[in-house]
Amino acid sequence: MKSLLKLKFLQLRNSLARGEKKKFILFVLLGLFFTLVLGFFFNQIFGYLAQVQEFPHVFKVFLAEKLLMMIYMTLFSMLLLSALLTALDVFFISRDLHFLFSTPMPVRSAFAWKMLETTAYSSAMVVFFSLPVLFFYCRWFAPGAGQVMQVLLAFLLFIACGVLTGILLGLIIPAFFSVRRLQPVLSVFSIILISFIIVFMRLLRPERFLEPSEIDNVLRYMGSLDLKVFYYFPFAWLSRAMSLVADGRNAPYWKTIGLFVLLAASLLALVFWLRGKIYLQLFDKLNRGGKGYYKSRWRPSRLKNDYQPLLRKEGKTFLRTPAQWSQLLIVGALVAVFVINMKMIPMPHQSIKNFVSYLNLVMAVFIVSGLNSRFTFTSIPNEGPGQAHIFGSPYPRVKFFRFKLLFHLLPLLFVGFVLYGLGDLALHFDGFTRLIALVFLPPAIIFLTVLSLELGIETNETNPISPEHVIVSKQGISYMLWSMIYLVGGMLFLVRPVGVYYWHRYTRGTVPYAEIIAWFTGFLLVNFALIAHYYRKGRRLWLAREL
Amino acid sequence: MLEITGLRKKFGKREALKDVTFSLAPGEIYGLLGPNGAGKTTTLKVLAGLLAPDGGSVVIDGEPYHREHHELKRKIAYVPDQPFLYYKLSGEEHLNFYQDLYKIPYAKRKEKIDFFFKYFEFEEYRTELVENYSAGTRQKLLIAQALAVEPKLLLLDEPLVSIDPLVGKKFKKYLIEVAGKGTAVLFATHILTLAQEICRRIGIIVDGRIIVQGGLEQLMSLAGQSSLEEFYFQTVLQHEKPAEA
Repeated sequence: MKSLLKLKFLQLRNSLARGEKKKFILFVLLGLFFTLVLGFFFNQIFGYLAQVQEFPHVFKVFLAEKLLMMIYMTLFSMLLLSALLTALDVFFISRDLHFLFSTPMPVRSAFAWKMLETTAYSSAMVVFFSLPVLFFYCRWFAPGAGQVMQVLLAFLLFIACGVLTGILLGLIIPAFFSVRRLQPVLSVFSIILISFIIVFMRLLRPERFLEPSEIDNVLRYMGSLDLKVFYYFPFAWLSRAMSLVADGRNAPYWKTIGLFVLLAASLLALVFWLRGKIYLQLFDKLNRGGKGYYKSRWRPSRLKNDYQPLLRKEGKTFLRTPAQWSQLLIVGALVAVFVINMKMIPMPHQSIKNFVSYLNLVMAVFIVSGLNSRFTFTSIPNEGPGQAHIFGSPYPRVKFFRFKLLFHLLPLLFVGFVLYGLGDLALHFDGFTRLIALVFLPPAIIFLTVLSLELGIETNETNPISPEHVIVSKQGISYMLWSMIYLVGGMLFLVRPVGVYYWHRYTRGTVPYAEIIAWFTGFLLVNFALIAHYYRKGRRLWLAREL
Repeated sequence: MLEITGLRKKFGKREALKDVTFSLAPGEIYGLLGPNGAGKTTTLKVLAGLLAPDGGSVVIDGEPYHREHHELKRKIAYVPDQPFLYYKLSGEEHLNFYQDLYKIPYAKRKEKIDFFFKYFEFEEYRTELVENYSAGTRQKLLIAQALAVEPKLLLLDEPLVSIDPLVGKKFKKYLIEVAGKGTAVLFATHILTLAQEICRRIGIIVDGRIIVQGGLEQLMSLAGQSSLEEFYFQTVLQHEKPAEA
């Protein structure tokens, strides 16, 4: 075990020494930034709850408990799914397993090591998100050193229960299903669950929570969270334990901890029992390999153009990689929330509607920009070393480049207009707003797609990269920065013609269409120049690319 | 078929190819031998169009070659030294994709694809995703893919790594057959017995330069050696001595 810990340490040290230090520091700084933002948010919420004069202390603690339950319900789902997916990977697919089993190390030690790995990988995100919640809860409700220790103990047991449940399921499931087939399905399932939680949280209308003067709203909101079934889950135990600490009720607190310990010990015993009974047999079964998976064939297509082979290849590989397309479900959930918001915003006056329609355009482009950073930016590296076959073939490189651009651009244009259209359907914008959409959306989406593709090529990566790469690479940060500058710049550029139009309509004067057209033309020309510049730069880099 | 003159390639400050000059006639199997890092893979990558040369010239079928010369590239197929493939395609889909890139009509390809799955004994993996293949099966797919487009110039970089001896034997037989039909084969390998078995001519590349080349038998008799292995060691060690001194 010591040797394996040392190995991990050496791997980390070598990766830092290899020049990944900057990325590491950047990653840590970003993490700190998010922690600070979350911290600020939770400090405000818990501070408000603790200080509001109208409520008695018991009610404040009760409200905080419900809020904690909502947070930990989400985090527990994340923890459970993450532990399950990680366990399937770490215990059955991980490449070092063959090496570990070929050494004189006892299987129980290797297993224990894999449990530690699963715990570290699957709980890191939940711990990271929880730190500001725990810190500011303790600040306002449980400030004593003993109370902090009690909260931490409950939290650690919560993590242990979540991870052990994930590992247990990870050891049982492969007895019935193939791990290689199951893992992508579970990934999709987890994404669907997260999407569902996003929509669920929105449908609860948390804005009611921000109007505490209307106590009925708050109670109704809390009531929708108060399902009896929740009390069988560790997230409800954790929030209960934390509120018992805040109330200073030690006896029921230790009862809750006893429940936690009992569950964790039972899960641990079951995991070790399964290790002895079935783990190695399942590992052997998996490594005997399996037959059949996808059985589609490559039949002649009616589409007879040069892009057809790449389109087929791209379509098949995209659909068969759930990690790629399943994230679109989260985007779908966000769009649903966006539309719900549109429906719920009060629109007492047409001018507010016009303002919202303008913001809606920006929001649509912002979402497209996010999609670009996830899909277009990573598309060239995600081709992997397999692209050597295309580069080595007679297929023209320029067409490969154009295809990559069109493959992302056309769906993104569609997404952009659908997002705008959904807002229009909900609020019935006026004709001028629709004209602005036609002027603003196409060049903005084309520019952002061309920019992300060019920067993706500039990374010069020939191995697939993860989405995190976007926030730690120079090119990824450049993309985010430039896309935001573009978005704000574009908005400001169009403020003048939009303002002129609505002002003249409001004052019933003659609308200066010539001026408006001049502004629109200027916008299109600037965009044309930007698109041409980045398209040519990307093409040049692409043609010079070596593998 | 292929004439390379003074080919140069730099990676930063390191000169991977300093002066590579050799030629291949149609139907010839040329073995490119040399120690690790000598420039074998770089030479093949330049010819496959994956790398752009910094100097020198390449002429294929009498025409100057560059990596955007699509008509000439239609005559070339390349088997890389590592089985890089699109793992989310099945073997059959991968072969069809490659045939599409070479614009080979559907009518012509089915028989050929059937033949290679049977010949290299991996028919049962035909519709299986490449990600489930063993290293040897991936290598078979790469070889089948290159042979199925019927190239005039075949570039092979360590093609028999991970391949079982029975299929390896079939591959050698097939290679000699296609060479007999006029395909020139450039073959980079470390397996000297293999080179001795199938290559008509060899070139030894050391430190980015071809230091010796010619007919196999002629070279060995000139050096007074009875096997390619002994000849190779003598030549490479002689060349490396001044550097060591």
